[in-house]
Amino acid sequence: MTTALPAATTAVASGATQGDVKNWITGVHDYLAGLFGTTGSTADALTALGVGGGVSSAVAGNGVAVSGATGAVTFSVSAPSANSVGSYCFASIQVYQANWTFGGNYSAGIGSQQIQLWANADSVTGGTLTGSISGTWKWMGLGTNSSAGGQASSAFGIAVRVA
Amino acid sequence: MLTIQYAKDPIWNDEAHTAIHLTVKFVEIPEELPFTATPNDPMPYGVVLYNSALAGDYGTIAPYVPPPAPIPTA
Repeated sequence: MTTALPAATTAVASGATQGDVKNWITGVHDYLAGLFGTTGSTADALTALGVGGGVSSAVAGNGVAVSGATGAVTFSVSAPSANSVGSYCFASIQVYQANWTFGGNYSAGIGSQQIQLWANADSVTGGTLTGSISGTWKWMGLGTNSSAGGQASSAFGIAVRVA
Repeated sequence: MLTIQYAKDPIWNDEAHTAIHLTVKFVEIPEELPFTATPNDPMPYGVVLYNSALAGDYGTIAPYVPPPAPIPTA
């Protein structure tokens, strides 16, 4: 609750009564309590003034590492986990004579206008290439603006997961 | 973490039925997005979308449509 500071003249006027002074003291108390709180704690006073709070702890996130949970914390960029939002991949987009767009959003898969993982492997011995992606990916490679549709069947570039 | 607002138009994303293509609207993103939902998605909402689509919450899943055959180059 907001309490205005009572006028000093109330307590020092020549005709001020004992009750006037008591009321003035009470008014000053309420004014200070409203400003700083009543606990005497610095933290509580800062909160009451509206300057408390702020960052009190830090937690690592996907792609963000922290040096500690509290105190002087250093944030640093780290690699996001594969196939998570914010992660990148080397991709191919299957276009099949359609246009595709730099910065466009595409789903994952092997169909037309979809993005899939790609590796420039010259040979694979004793196994097959593995890995798949989910969600929505933003194509970060060149696009086409042909009104007749792109003439390539696929393109290769970087994609970043956005959803 | 994104919040699913709605999803629609489920289509099997491959012949083996390992993924479902959806159009998804997230609360935090203004436009609808094409989305491939899989059961092993590291993003929890992706798994929710897959399971919900599988349960029929977004309608019947349309059959997989193979891409057109590439046109041979000269």
